[in-house]
Amino acid sequence: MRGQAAHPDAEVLAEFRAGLIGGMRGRRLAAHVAGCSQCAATDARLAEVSTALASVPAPSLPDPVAARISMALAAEASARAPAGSPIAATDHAASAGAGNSQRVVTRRDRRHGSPIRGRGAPGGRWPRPVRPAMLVPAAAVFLLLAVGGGLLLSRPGAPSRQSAPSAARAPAIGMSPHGGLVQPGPDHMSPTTPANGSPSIAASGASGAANLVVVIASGADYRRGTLRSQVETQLRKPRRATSIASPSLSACALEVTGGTPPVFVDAARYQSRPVYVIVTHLRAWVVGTGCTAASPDVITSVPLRLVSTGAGISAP
Amino acid sequence: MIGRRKAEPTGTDTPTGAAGAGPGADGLSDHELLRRHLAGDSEAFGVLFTRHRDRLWAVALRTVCDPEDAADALQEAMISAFRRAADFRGDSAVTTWLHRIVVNASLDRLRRRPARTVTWAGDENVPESVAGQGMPAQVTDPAGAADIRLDVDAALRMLPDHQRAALVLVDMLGYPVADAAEILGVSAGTVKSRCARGRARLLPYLEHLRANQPGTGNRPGAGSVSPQREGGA
Repeated sequence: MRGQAAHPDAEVLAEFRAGLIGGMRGRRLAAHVAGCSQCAATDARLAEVSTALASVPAPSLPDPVAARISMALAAEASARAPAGSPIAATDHAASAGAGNSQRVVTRRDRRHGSPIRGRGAPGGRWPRPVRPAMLVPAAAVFLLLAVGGGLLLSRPGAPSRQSAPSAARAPAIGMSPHGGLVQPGPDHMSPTTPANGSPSIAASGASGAANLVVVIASGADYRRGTLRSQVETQLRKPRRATSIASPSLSACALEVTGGTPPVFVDAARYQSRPVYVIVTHLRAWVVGTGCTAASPDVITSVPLRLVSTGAGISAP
Repeated sequence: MIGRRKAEPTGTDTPTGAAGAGPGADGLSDHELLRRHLAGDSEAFGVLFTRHRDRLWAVALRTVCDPEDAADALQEAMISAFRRAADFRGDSAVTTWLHRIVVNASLDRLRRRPARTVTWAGDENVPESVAGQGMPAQVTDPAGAADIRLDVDAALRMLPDHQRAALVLVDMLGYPVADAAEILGVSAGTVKSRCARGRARLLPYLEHLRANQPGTGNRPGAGSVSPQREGGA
């Protein structure tokens, strides 16, 4: 027995406190602790360890990480839903996305050039290992669009709907603030060239064809008295596309703006409350995070002065 | 079950104030959201994630002790859960299932990470940065609370992964031993043993923190953890 001849060591006392030592040995330990100031002190300090651990506040998930994971989940949802069908057949998540290329790559995985090999659910392996080589053409397409023409939605007057399928489909990607890539499959998101020649990106997700709405995470805490100037500042700044809005957020944004494609949607805070700020060139709307087309949950809106948005939205 | 706890038992399956989901979704139970996800609802899983994201993040962050790794682990776990939702048999709470996936992803990430060089070899080798000499007995100010957090974070890094995971769930997040056992996929006795050994190992690192600070943190301050109470969990 460890240390029982003199004083039980801290581990034995901790096991005793946890109820793991009973019977005769437990009674001997209890008697010893009751009569030994040294062991009683150790016992008390063990209790304080638990209290010290419990005193540490639980952290909240940082918004950029939340946005990144939400983006990944939205990509998963987009991958498994048949185009034009809001509810897929009940051949569900176990086989979701099988056969398409959609994948989310974390920053570290990308840096190491290796596929994700997380075990995830007990006993499981990723059903679809990523093929890094697939990311190269996707990144090239995204950068070409971002640098060459900017995302369509950053341009005023762009068409609000783009449903015509393209004959030449190619994958596009979104990027997270941490560098994670979302690589939608070619059947769900495709760059197209409409009749007017403007490059655009059309997405056909769960709710059918819809424009991509770019989401950024500025980290701003918009305030009631300075909302307009804060939004205009964001419009002037170079922005990094954090994610592509989910179908419901996209529908919400277009509902709020009356069909005008937003320059961006900022997943931020307003008066310290998590919100989306939907920004066009003429007006910004603050909506609750539960915003949908049917229930936009507009908190406030503010007209904007026309500002240059030459910086556009670029890849990180 | 440890009585002085703030954490909600994972055995419950009630909405806990999600934000950022579709209309009406907040009123749905976790089981119903998962059922809808399996039926093809593209937003149901997002509501689940939003509902539990802070606690899942806390588990991942405290287990891997690195924000970047924790973010990756949580992302992997959520995608895995999304895809493997059909594997959920319904014999436990959805949150227990989610926590288990997050813990597994976190431990998996730790296994893939290069071995740490910091080890604990006894009182005389406690690093000064961890020992935090001179911590006042009564900590009520925010800066003091931050110091405690840093000390605890540093001390947790000294523990073997499985001991840390058990202590995070039971002592830091307040889960009953039975729930922690289900999340970790081990017996309740194993959880108690890992917690006990972890507490003993943390002793030299945290003994400078007196436990009489009033009611801060995850759970209200309290006296000792009685063997009877923990043993009965």
